[in-house]
Amino acid sequence: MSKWCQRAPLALILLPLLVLVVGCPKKPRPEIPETTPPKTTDKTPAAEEVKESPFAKTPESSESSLEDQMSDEIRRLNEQKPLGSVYFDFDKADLRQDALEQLQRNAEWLKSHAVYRVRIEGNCDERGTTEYNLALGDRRAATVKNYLVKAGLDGGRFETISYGEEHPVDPGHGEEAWKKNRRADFTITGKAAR
Amino acid sequence: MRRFRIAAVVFLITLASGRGGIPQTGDIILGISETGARRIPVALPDFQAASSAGTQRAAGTITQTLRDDLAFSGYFSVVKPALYSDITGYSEKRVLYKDWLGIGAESVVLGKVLEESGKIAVEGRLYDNHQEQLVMGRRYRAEPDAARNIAHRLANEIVRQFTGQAGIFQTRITFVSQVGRGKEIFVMDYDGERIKRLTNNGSLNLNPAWSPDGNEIAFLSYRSGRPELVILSSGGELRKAFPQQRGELNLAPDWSPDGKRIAFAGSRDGNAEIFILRLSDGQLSRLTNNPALDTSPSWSPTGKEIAFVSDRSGSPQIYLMDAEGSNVRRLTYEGSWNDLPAWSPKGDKIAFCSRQEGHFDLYVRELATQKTTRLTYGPSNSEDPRWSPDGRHMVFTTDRSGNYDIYEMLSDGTEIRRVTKGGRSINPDWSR
Repeated sequence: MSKWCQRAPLALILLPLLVLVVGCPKKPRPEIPETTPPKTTDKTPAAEEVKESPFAKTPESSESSLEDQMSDEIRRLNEQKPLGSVYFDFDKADLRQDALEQLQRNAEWLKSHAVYRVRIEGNCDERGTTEYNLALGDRRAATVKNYLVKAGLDGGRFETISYGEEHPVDPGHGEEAWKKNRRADFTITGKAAR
Repeated sequence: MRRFRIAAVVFLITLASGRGGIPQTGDIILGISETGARRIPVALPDFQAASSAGTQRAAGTITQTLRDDLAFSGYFSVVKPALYSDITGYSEKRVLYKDWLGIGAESVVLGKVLEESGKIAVEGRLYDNHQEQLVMGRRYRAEPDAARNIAHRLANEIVRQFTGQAGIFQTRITFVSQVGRGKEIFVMDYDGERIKRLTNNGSLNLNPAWSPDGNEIAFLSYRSGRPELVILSSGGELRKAFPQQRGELNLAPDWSPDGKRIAFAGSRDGNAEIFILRLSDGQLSRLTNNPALDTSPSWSPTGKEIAFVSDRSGSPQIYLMDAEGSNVRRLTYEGSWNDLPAWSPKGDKIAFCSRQEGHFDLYVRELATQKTTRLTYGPSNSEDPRWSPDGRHMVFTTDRSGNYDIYEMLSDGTEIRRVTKGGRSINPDWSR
């Protein structure tokens, strides 16, 4: 605040227009912008606010509809769970002994069923941030894929995806649940094009 | 969507009793220091209303919203309304300064709601009870159901009188909430009101981040079955999508302060790295090149540096680097898992969450002194810290009520309050 302003003659303030237009010579008064038309604001009342956006209406395939596109044959095959999940330690993507054994069995099945394409899905327990767990789930899926490629399988058959901590098989909040959720799942997605 | 306008005009300011001085509108007149813990006690009696039910309802909403806003700001304490009943017969012509001082109020806000051809006109005046003068007056005209917005605008101006900077009461928070099996993007006012859902695709939609101008939100979406970066308008219209090849993950977007670029963590073959996406032409540049997981970039407010998370040391820790990817240095050493850095609006601090004693809590590092201050104290988890645009508040998630919900607090960790209820809300981000 300049001295000039502090000592401004009282008369100045009695002429509101002058105050608005001229104001303090060094600092434009912050209320001046308020005299310009203010921007529009959302006023939809709370009760009606959950309405679908154009984005939401855009036809799109969601995860579930990807599954819907599977043939009955593939769906039945997945129900038999020919490829077992593998499990990880907390904040780790290393393959434990039990994971290696499961992956050996999975590799054998994949070798004898070379026609199928498979999605490897990395998952985490709920501890930690959404963001880091997405990256960790991604690493778990990639580690599994790398193992299968090293075991002699064609990497082109696999895609990897991370669901982070968002798809727990057990929604509980303790080690019993967590150890089941730190995993990589296998979903057969179709047959390779010939 | 229907829109409306609030017409706001400045009062003809009439000096109440002024001791020769003019109302020093727009400057720091009552001088609240940034770190000062003292709150200005302000009285906020009910706004008076014309007899119609509409104006009375609006007056009630405005009074309550103003009290909530001012108390939330951290600058004020609202003097208990029960004490106001002893003071009668006041008006803008006869403020009764000494009576308000008598109940401990250094300032008083008087207001009324009038009816003007189907609209409401709201007048609010802020008085300094020591100086015995009008500090500020505002008049707004709008549809009756805009009462809440009017209160927020008036509160913004009141805060400006004390700090030189407008309040944050018209800012919004975007977040993620579970709907069925999916996670969808939502926005709400800073105080948890007017929740609006932006996505409805039943898949995972995560990590929403406001553009600096508040017009767009970038996030990670599995809407196509595979993770891609998507940008929506704040009203929910699709603006841009960056579909990825199979197996690629693009998460944790953060807009550069100039709004022209987005930093994010991109992953191929299980190795997340920090990338920058230039929005004008989609050009990608890679900042990190390391076999470790590098995630959660956060721009400094100057745009010259980026904080991020990496497990290159064997555990997730926070690092800083120049925005070109050079000059990488480690920021955190304590704790087995430090995550989600958030640079303060002034650039002097970085908030983050840290796992110690088996759960996550929030901490803040002052960069000049390298001093770390703990903000939350388990035993539940507190994660996802983000700053309010004025740096006085933080929004975060915690599972202290059983499931994760959105909470806010002052940025020193006090005055924690719950904003969403019902659980399963995560990933908040505060508009600027």
